[in-house]
Amino acid sequence: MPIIINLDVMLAKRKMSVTEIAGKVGITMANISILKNGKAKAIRFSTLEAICKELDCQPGDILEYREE
Amino acid sequence: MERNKLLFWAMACCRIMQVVQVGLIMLLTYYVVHWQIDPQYYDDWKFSGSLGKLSISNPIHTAASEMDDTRTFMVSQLQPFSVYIIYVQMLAQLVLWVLVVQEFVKVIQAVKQVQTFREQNVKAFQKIAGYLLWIFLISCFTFVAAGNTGHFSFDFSFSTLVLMLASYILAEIFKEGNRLYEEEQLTV
Repeated sequence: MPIIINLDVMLAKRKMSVTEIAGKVGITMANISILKNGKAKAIRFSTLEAICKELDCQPGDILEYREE
Repeated sequence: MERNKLLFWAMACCRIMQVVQVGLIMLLTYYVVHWQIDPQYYDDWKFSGSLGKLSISNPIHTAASEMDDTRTFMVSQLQPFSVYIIYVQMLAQLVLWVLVVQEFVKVIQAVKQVQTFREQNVKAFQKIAGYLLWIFLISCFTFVAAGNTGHFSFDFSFSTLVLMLASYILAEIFKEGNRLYEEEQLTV
């Protein structure tokens, strides 16, 4: 998929752990793992909103389009 | 609750059908074995060729007195290899029907466990369609050799073909359902 998830980059920038973001956003570790590994087929606006709020960033900081 | 009741009865029907099918296999085998031991016992027995609605028949030897419309033969007149062909044909059909019911039971069990749109059910319906195709192919011809008369006919069972088509359509529906389920599972 040409959509890249840069969640780990943003987490490193904010010095936040995966467990911490999962707890704050309210999603399971399994789902965070799916998102981080690029296996996710879709992301809900509510999830994206919560991640952006916690990491204080824009959706474009997390999602990136890269041509294959 | 209603759904569970329906599934319960469907499962019960499948189990009864399996018992009947296995019983028929045993009965058929018993008759063939007994016919070999004591062929005189079957002297008065008659064999009727199964006929579908559409039939193309090709008599190998024309013997007008023996070839009637009902295609009934005396068992005593049947050639042994003809009996074996009929036996294998009927046995194969029964075994395939047992397998069809077995796959259907697996689907019902999956639905009962709320595992409806799963890959295993798609495969089960594809298998059912495959078995039905084989049943159609096996049952579409009849060969009977009695005395000096041979009879070969094609009888097309369209109901089996319709069932096969329905199974393939259900397999496609379940495949689509499975795709949506997996997509839902991977939505964060």
